Amino acid sequence: MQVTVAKEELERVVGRCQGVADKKGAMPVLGSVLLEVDGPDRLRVAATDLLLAVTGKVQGQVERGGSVALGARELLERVKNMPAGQIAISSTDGATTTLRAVSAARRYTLGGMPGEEFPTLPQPDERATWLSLPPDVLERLLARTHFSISPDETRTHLNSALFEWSGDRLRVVTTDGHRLSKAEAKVEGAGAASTMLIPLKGVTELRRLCDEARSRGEGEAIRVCQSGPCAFFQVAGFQFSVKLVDATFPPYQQVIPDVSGQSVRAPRNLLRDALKAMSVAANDRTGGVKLTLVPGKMRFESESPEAGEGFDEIAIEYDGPELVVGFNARYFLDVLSAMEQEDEVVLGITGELDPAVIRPGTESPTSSYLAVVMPMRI
Amino acid sequence: MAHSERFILHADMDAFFASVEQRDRPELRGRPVIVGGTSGRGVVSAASYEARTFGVRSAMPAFRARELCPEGVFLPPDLARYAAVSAQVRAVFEELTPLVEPLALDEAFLDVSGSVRLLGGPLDLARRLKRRVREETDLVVSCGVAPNKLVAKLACTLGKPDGLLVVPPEAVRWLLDPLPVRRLWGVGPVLEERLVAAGFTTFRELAEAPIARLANVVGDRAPVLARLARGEDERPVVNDRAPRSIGEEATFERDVVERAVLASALTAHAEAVARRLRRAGLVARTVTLRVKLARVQQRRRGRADPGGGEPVRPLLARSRTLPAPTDDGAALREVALALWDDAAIREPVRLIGVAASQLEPRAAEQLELFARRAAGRANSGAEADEAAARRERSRRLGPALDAIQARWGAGAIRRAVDAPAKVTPSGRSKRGE
Repeated sequence: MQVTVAKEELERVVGRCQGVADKKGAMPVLGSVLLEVDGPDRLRVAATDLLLAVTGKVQGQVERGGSVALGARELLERVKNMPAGQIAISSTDGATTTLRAVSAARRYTLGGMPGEEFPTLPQPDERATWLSLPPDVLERLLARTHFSISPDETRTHLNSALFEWSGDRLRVVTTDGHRLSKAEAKVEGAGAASTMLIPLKGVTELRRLCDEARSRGEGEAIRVCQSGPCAFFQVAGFQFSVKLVDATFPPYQQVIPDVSGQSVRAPRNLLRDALKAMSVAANDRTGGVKLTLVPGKMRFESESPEAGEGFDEIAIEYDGPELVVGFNARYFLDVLSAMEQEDEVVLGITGELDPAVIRPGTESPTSSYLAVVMPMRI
Repeated sequence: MAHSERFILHADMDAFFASVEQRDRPELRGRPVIVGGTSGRGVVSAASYEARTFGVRSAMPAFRARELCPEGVFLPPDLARYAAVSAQVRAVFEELTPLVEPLALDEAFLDVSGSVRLLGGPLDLARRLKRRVREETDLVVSCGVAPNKLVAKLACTLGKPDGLLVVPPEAVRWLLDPLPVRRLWGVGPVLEERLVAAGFTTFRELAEAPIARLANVVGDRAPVLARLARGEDERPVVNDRAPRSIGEEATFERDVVERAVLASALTAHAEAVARRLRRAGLVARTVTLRVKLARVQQRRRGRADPGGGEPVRPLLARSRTLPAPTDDGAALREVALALWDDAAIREPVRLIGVAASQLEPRAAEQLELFARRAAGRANSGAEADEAAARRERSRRLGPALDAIQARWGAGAIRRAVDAPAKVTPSGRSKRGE
């Protein structure tokens, strides 16, 4: 293989790929990045940990075809340290590879593996239906739900995000068993129905891709499809695939209470500041803060043997009966941070052992959001 | 949480050292007994009520006591004996709450906020304490129950001897207002003189004084003093030791091999341990099964006491740590039974017991979103659902059982898995029971 590419482009694509490569695993080939000549003027760059896979393209000048797999971290480090400009990459049949700066003396030689040893990456069916949406819409759906994915990898159905695409709505729902968040957006294009469980690791990587697409600011859409056991995303020249979780997401609709009758509005900043302040004096282990609703006011109290006590109060619109509920302050704060564009939030709190609902203060026709938080028994 | 009602009990043994002497030496009963001051240069450690009628007080120089009460029986203090009795009393205190803060051998604060409802209110709880102390030690203790330490101690002192005074929050000022300032914590004879000279003679005058005027007399301490005079005192009861484990065990009347009988005993023990955990406001992470086998172990030769003493039987212990700490009897029982089955003991058993350790205070508990309706593990959703619901029901059952048993007695209700022909739990006095 012999090819010449721009340093900046190669660094960007290899950087994205090395995030997916499995650098700590037992199979060295999964810790590597594949470089493969993919056309008369194109280098394909790919990485996978068998759960996620990512492929990017770099334009270049091809002298000779072929492929090689190089250690992901090693390759990225060397590319980064190249001077700006063109880099010539050449590898022997034994997979020894040289990176050479075209306009300077700098060069590296490193060992690799023949490209044939790199696994074949999943490809979407040609007949699959694609949905397309702006990166910032997807990013917002993920930002508002990412935090309530369970980090427990043994509970695969909670260690993932539910993507429900039906007609012109795309819905993302996540829960860790104590709280739940649900974000929905109206999307353009062909109506189709699909339900996918995307593992946490995939969600994290997908957010990085969205960030990258947004930072490039090309107004380019993200294309999404489900095909076989995988979901595919195409954005900013990358194809990203993730193996879907084969499990049943909990019946989330059943635990979202209808609290339209008993809700209170509160300024998001005041609520967040009070909760943040009270969590300083909350029990380290449980993070419990006691909320008391009385007409016109919401009180916050925390207490722990180690941290003493804290008290705060804010003015809100409420004229119902007095209500006392304990919550993990962090669960509330996560939701409030996820709604950073909102000035006001609406809380639906009905009883000390019943789930609370948090919504944005303003409803939009093109998107909706709600979070459910289960209280603590205090 | 922060502002729930507090019940603080101050317990003070009446004329403790002197009472112990009178109890153990019947010939001293009814006579003025003075402990301490035997050397002539010492001070009085304790005076019986008979001696007090002569004006003898604790901390009085011995020569003065002899002047006041020439016929008094002066005894040297036997601190080791008093300490042993004190430990007995402490054990009684701990039957009511784990939060015991001893002030001296004869005096302690108890935070009974957690157990007061279970034991029928502050008055019944204090009566029970006095009765139990009398049963265990044949001595009299005075009690004051109030919303805080300051008022509890004053109430206890006001009720002596053989006192029992419960002060509800609304009666605090009524009780305190007319008291002379000397009774207030931190007011000694010198400060008393200055306060009285400045026109402060009662709690009420301190409580209602403008802080600036009070500060002229006592300086920086004015706000604190005024707060105390109003009966406001937020200091917590700090216990000096936490239990490391709570256990129940009993020896069978005959050696047992049948699993059903053992299971029944384990159930009773697990429930008793759970009850004591709940009463102490604790949850346990580790469950230990203790088994004493019926067969007698061969003694090794060359031991200090050849042939004599009790026969030694093998004692086995098996432990398991739970994923989440619990105070639920059914959960403890399940683990204890699993430990029994895993131990595969195929021979007669003399004693069986359950202990809970790795104790921690029960904290607020995060509720499950899907516990009531569905989910759990994906592949066995319905099963997990049911298990979660069962756990939740069982968890709620414990406190309900406690309340019924506290009101109607231990035999009034029990879980259906307890066979009626069960063993009686051991009779020793224990923490939380």
